Amino acid sequence: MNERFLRLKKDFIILYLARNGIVTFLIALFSMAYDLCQYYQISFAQGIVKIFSNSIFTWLYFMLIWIFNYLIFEIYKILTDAYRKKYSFNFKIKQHRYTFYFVIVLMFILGIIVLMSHLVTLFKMDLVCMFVFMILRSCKEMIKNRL
Amino acid sequence: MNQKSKMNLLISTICTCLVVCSLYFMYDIFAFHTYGDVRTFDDILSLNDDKYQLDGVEIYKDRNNIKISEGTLTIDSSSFQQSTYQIVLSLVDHQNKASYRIVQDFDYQNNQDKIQLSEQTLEFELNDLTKASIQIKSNQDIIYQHDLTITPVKPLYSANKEYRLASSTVAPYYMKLGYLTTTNQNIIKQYPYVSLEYRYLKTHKKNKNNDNNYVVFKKVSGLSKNLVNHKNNDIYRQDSKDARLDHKDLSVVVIFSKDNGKSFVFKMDLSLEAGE
Repeated sequence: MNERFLRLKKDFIILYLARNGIVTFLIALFSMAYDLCQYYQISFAQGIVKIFSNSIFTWLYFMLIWIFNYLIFEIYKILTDAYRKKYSFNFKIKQHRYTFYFVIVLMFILGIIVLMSHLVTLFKMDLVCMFVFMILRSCKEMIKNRL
Repeated sequence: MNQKSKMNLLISTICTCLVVCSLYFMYDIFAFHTYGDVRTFDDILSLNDDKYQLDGVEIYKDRNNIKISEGTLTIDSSSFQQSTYQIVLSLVDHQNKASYRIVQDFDYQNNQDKIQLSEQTLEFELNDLTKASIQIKSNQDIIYQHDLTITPVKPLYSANKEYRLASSTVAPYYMKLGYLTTTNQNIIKQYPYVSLEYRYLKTHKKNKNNDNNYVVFKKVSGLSKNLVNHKNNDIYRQDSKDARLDHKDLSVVVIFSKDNGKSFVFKMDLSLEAGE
């Protein structure tokens, strides 16, 4: 029983370590399926199927978008971990002290710029989802580092 | 920022630049192979009733429009006199509880037994075709009416990196030939003539790599500038006594040629799209 529990724990640790890869994959999947279901006027599930069944070029491009998402998230992580304390201010809610990171505002502005740009729907959706994911991570860090 | 983070940032940035370049330069190829024809339904309407026959008329939804291809209606000339008649096609979508009528007039000439139906584009909200019928009327008198047979058409997929056969579909005894599209615009200048040979393998047991094992059933030739990247609604009808087209190993041989006899030849398999 104990051995089984340890194996299960190990599986969860692997999933936890791969969480960024999994989320960036889901964002790429969602963006491309959304784009395809808008274009072909099909259901979202059919859009997902079409990514992998349409043509080798479609799913190769999907893989590239996933790698792109993962890389920009890595860059974001390195930069925010290094500079977030420098560009922040503190505030207090009840008994906790929080630090607000300005990177959240920056991501929000970038998201709006992307929405208003003339990018194709696929990249527009993908980048907006990535910015939302980055904002969520910053919010998580805010709660995690509260005093 | 520590040394390790700087190194990670540098590697990630270089990799991102490479991926962004790949995404940028591959986008045209991706779009070419991904964003094809949009069709929610695609059917063939036919009629085979004693002296009345309707040769496969294709009806399909192209975005917000319903399109009906041209066709030939064979009639029993003994029931007609020299006058103006109306052909009414009724289309019923049971799921969405909607029905539509398409009316076309024709002037009957003596001993005429074939009526040419013209291609039409209609702005209907038809999402699925469940029943269709035909009526021939003179003023309010119904001369003839009968249900039409609806045969769903299967889309065909055929492509390599630079070339794709678009809008190609197959039904048991009918094939829409489609048209050749390419991302390589120079090919039209380099090779002014093109020929597309549609063929099928004689039997499944024969070797696919031997060109002698194929039957060429349709050949389309002409100037590259007229045939490449230009929509074409040409169709091929197979005699119903022969084997079904949708059960055959279909392929197309594309031959680009110059005045001096030099040519560029390649072949592409025509396969049913996934899920068909």
